[in-house]
This record gives sequence, C-alpha cells and structure tokens, in this order.
Amino acid sequence: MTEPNENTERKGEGCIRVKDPLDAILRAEPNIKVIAPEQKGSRITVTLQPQDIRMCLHRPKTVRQLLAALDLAEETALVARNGELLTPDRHIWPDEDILVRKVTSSG
Amino acid sequence: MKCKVCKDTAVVALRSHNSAFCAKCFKTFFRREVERGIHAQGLLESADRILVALSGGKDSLALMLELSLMGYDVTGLHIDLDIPRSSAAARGHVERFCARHGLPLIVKELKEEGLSIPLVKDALTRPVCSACGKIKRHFFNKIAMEGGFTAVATGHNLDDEAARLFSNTLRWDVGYLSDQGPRLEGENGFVRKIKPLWRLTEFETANYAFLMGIENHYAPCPYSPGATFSTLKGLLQKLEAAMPGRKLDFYQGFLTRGRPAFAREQAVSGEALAPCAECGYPTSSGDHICGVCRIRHAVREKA
Repeated sequence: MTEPNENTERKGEGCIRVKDPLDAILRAEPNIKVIAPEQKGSRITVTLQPQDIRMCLHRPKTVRQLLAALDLAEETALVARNGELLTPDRHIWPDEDILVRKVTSSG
Repeated sequence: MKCKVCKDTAVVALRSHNSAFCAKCFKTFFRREVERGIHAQGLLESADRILVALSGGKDSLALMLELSLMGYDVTGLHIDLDIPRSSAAARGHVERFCARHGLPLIVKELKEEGLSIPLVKDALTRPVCSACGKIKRHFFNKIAMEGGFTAVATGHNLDDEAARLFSNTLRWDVGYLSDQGPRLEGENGFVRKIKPLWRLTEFETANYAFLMGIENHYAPCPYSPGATFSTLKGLLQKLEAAMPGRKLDFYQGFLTRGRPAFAREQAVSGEALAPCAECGYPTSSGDHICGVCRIRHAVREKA
C-alpha cells in the first residue's frame, strides 16, 4: 500500500490524497496575501515590488498570463526567477517563487 | 523566445524594436542606444567633465554606470533632501553604488542651506514638488559651475520625456516646448544640461539596472503622489502597447519638426534672463530675485 509523503496525506482507510498546495504555503508564510483562495490546484508565490507585497496565486502557465493576472501590461514590469529575467512567453511551473518589479517611477 | 543576435535564450523582449535579447546582447543594445542618443543630439565630447545627478533611482544610477564604462569623466551629485526616512535610504543607495564602482560622489545637504524639504513644504501653500525640483536644479547648476564641470547629466528616459512633452502639449506651453529636449545649451550662467537616456524607455533602463546588479532606491517620495505624471505615462503606455514605437516617434518628431517652430516663437516673445540680486544665478522671474531665493525667504518667514 502507498504510504503518504510530504505532498500527500492519508484520508481514511487505505486512501491517500494530495495536499492542497496552499496549505504548505500558508504554513511557511502565514501572512502571505492569498489571491482567489477558493481555486484548487498548483500555486506560485510572488514578490511584488516596489510595494514588497508577498502574494500567492493560482499558477499562471506563462509570464504573460502572470502579468495579466496582476493587471500589469507587458513592458511595465520586470519578471524574474532565481535572478534570471523572463520574457513573456516563458513558462511558469508549480511552486515557483517569482519576482515582479514594476518599472514606472511615480515621483 | 531567442536572442535576435546570438540565438541564445532571450531575457528581454522589446516590442517597439521587434526584438529580443540575451543578457549580453541587451547590454550591447543599451550601449548603442546611449551612443546614438549622445551623437544624434551632440550631447557630449570626450573631453567633457560631467556632473551626473544621482537620485538613487534606477535611471540615474544606470546612466552614471554606463557613462563611466564608456570612458567619460563622471562625478555623481546627490542632493540630500532631508525628508525623514526616505532621504537617508536614497542617499545610502547612492553612496554604496559609488563606493562599489569606485566613482566620485559629491553630496549636497539641503539642511545646511536651511532648505530641508519638510521646512519648504510647511512654508509654501502650493505643492512642494515644483519647489523641490527648482531647488535641485539650482544646486545642480551652482555646483557644476563652481566645480568647473562642463555638463550636468540627468537620468530622464524616453517615458519621462514623452510624458513631459505630452503635458506641455496639452497646455500648449510655448516656453517649455521651445527648449524641451535632451540638450539645453550652457549659456548665461547655466551649465549645459543633457539627458543621454532619452532614447531608452523606463523598461529598458530597469532591465539594464537589473542585469548590471544595480541596487537602486525604489520607494516613491512620500510627498509626491505622482498622480499627473503617472496618468500621462499610463496613457502613453496604452498607446505604445497598441502601436509599438509610437512613443519614440512622438518625441523624435517633436525634436526635429516641432521644437524649432516653438523656439522661433519664444525668441520673439520670451522673457530675458537676468542675474538674481541675491545669489547671482540667472532668473527669468522679472522681480530681481530667483525662485530659490524666494523660497528661502518663505522658509525664514515661517520660522
């Protein structure tokens, strides 16, 4: 019989289910802003600058979709993963941590 | 998306240039755009001594770094506005940046002039932003004149310039439209002012700053909601999204075909400059003292 691991949990006799990714994120960062918590499935975390807001949202498949989800037009924000800049066509994978830095100065 | 030049994975996509670049090729692109901007408008000679105004933001730091890498003689000038929390953070970014890159820096504290921006804000009934800009420009020029610099460079980018042009056009402000541009001549007590990043968008300078590892100050000024300019930039950004390249067309077209006409008009009807009776620097105010000296009076009266 399959035993539960860090991504799964036992649900009743002989039954395993995959944990909600949001639970793990909230355990690590209880104060993170959760966008659309009712949506199930894979999620990503985002740092939005210059406000330095940490947020968690349902995984967009591409950088272009991420910008749209944040209501940002292309070329108004940098998007980076692990220190690497990403063009709008690049894929985003589950559980990734993404930096979004708006470029428009307000002063 | 692949780099247009070397076919490596692209990290920056630019719709207005119908191109994408890897990190190395983007830096080359950035250098060429700065060079084109300098040469097209005759901004600099190799012998120039350049005072670069450093706010601590991405644009001014990117400009300082790129001009130094191009071999120009650059010195940074940071004006410490003495705004609680905000100014110390901005100054810290500038000082660390210059120390890291071994670049000379002058820091001017407005506090020692009795012109701390919080005091100015309390003394004026109008918004402080225009007074703050006036004071900064005054000291850019004064320090450049006294230090023997031949040009003052600021980090204004294409978005700043297009938004400014849009604003001036909406008001048909002939005075501003007659001399807006990347080069303002040095004459009558003014050092030449230049804007070498005028061909580059805010997005492009942000990418450059990121790729060059520049740690910049990005918190907005607590006294400046920036509403007017943000609105204008937002409108232009929507236009650019629908018609890539239109922002540069708008600005370049003005420089070649619009500005000369406004300059002719201003030559006929414009106000003459005269030295300020108190500080000696030129003013067009017509009442003997310049705007900065008037602000000094207002602060003293309030105290």
